Amino acid sequence: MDANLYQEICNNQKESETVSTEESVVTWLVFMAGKDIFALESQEIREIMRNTEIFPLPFVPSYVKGVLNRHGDPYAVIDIEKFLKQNEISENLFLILSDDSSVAFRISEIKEFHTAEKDDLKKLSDTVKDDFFTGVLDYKGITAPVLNINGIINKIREELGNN
Amino acid sequence: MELLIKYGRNLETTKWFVNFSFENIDILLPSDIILESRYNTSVESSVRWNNKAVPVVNIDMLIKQQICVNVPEKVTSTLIVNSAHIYAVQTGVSPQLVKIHLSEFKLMPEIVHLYSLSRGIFAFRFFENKIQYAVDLNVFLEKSGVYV
Repeated sequence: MDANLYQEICNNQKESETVSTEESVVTWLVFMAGKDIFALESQEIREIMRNTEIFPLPFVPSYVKGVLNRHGDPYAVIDIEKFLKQNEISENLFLILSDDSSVAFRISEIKEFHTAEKDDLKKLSDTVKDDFFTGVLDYKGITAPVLNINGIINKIREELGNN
Repeated sequence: MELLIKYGRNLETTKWFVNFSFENIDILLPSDIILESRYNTSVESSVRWNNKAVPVVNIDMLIKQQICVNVPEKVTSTLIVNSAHIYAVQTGVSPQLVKIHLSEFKLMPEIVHLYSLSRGIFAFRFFENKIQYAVDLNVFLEKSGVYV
């Protein structure tokens, strides 16, 4: 066998093992929205912003609070508690999502960046499957639903006729 | 207008707008739709232009209904505008003429873009701690429930 090729395969093997080990641990952002606790994978969040002004946007549903200015770029502010449960959030704390949706979730409080095994995410069974949650996370004995960003964004797009 | 704003960066086009300023938002109407500006006016239920009665719209009240900002109590100006239909737009703010390079405008965030566009808001810019919406008045009024 070609020695160089063998070495390359060995190196790839080590890299894939490393990746595999890294992926088994996930950092979650655990946060409050109103009285409810939720979690998101930290890599789904680009930035946490505090005390930034929300500019009102006419006509939109009440869970769309307006637009915020992040370094000159507009982000639509979604009050996640209002969207899920009809309760309004008053705190000016925002999670800028890292996808390309230009959406910021308005939340109440950051609890912790919580590291856990990927297996600690308990998937919802088909009978209770919800488009807005990917599963639940055990956080210090509390069950924290994990938000399904794609499901939430798609539902908002659907409601606003922006599909 | 939307296309102009989308490609304004290439066209290097500037345009005059009439700016209605309310707290932290401004409503911008293209100035070329303004047929006549009347100052020191008061609330009128009937306005005539070219010997014809035109629908009267109080833009302050519309903005207050939509986004709950404080608006002036008294009407001080009436603008006759032609935006598909001819309207008499009444306001208590002092409309200002502003010249804006179209490349300064941005489209709304994707998730609300088409929704806002269908309600007459086709672009915006952040300017001096405010947001300025460029508005198609006719669509804006229709979606506000103002019948024409």
